[in-house]
Amino acid sequence: MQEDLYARRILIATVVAFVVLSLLFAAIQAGWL
Amino acid sequence: MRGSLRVTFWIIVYFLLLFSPFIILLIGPRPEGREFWREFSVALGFAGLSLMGLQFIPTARLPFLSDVFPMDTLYTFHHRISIVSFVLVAAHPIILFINNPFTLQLLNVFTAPGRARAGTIALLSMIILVWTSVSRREFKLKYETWRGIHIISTVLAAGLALVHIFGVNYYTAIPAQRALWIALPVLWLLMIVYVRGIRTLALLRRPYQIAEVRQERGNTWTLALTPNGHAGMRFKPGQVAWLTVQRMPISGGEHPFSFASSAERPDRIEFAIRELGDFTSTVGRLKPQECKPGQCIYVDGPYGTFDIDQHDAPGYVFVAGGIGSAPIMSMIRTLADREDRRPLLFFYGNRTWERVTFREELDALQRQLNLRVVHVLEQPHEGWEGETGFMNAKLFDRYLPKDRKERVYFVCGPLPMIGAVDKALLELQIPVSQIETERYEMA
Repeated sequence: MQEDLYARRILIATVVAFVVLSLLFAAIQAGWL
Repeated sequence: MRGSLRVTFWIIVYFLLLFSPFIILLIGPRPEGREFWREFSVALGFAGLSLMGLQFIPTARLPFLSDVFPMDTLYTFHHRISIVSFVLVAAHPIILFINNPFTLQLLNVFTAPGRARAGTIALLSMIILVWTSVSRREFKLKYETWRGIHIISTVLAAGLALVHIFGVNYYTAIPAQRALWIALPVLWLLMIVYVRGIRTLALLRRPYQIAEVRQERGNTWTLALTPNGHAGMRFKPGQVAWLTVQRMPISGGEHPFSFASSAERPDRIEFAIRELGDFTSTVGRLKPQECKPGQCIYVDGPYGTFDIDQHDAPGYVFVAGGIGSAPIMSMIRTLADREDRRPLLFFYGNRTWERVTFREELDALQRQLNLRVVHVLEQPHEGWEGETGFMNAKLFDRYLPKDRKERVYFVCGPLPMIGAVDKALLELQIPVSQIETERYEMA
């Protein structure tokens, strides 16, 4: 059960990190940062 | 928690692998004149693909992962993260279309350039991949058919996505970027070589033959296997294996089952198989026979962390619904062979008294071990004085001893039951670290 909780947290962290990184990536490539 | 260092290590490796594409992509020269939304959509596409590229790993049954993470957790993670990767990949064209509706023309496979066609077909393959996986039961797809579709659409989606990236050629300029997009298919190839090559050869060298097919209560069969020309298999009580029955292991017709026999008897392993689907309904027709080419059984395992040997405790509490009792029987039979005297409590849920698999054996084991079995029936017969209905906190509270927080709990059964039992145990303030669960809807 503990591993399931870890897996759920990793999943949420992955989604959040990917969206934030993609925004950062796009901002850098568009010359905003 | 035992192995927590290894868990942390693999989580760090996972995130490093996942985010390395972004780091490598940022190294290269910045393309001129590309606006934010276009780059954002490209980044989401890359994110989705790198996620998808790693999905071969959790289900490849790599020993260094299956020794650390429960198999059903790995498979559930694979299911969920695959849906996330699909959403990310699908967001790539959707944002492009909203940002510049002119790009909708790229969907026309007759007029669009090859790179766009590759992208469209890759996305269609991903839709088929996810749809058939999420709705396999609704489509009534046979396991083997689904698996074939799964493999073909995965290869198509991944391969054509790479064709799309190299065709567009925006982020393939410097060697590090090219190396990244080449490393992904190399990783996939290595996985295929390991799963279909190395592991298949290892299985072929260790065949099993059917020693007995025994009918149990509740439309269940015990399939007993003996090793043919080798010493057998050491497993921990509660672990799982994938069986390939009377066909070549490379054919892909393998099915996961928990060991039901004692881990102290590796020379004869048993699996309890309930008639639930297309393959399981054929088990009763199997006959004991010598292992001839094409007639052998191949046992890929053992896998998983759902076992008593990795979770030492002053006593155990088992909770099973239906054929979720198979790994629990392996644990109880093993403890009986080891003459273990620790207190054991087994909450066993079934629809009716007649369907209680291993009922008579459990009666005998109660006399041999320090074991108490609490039968819980959904549809009790007239005169039944035991527990009825579904398992809940009140029921557990009546039976659990004072040292309940020190015991380790093994819960196995269908998803709704596991959810209800987990909730009930947490209500009783059983620490999460003491609860081990295994769903039997794994693959």
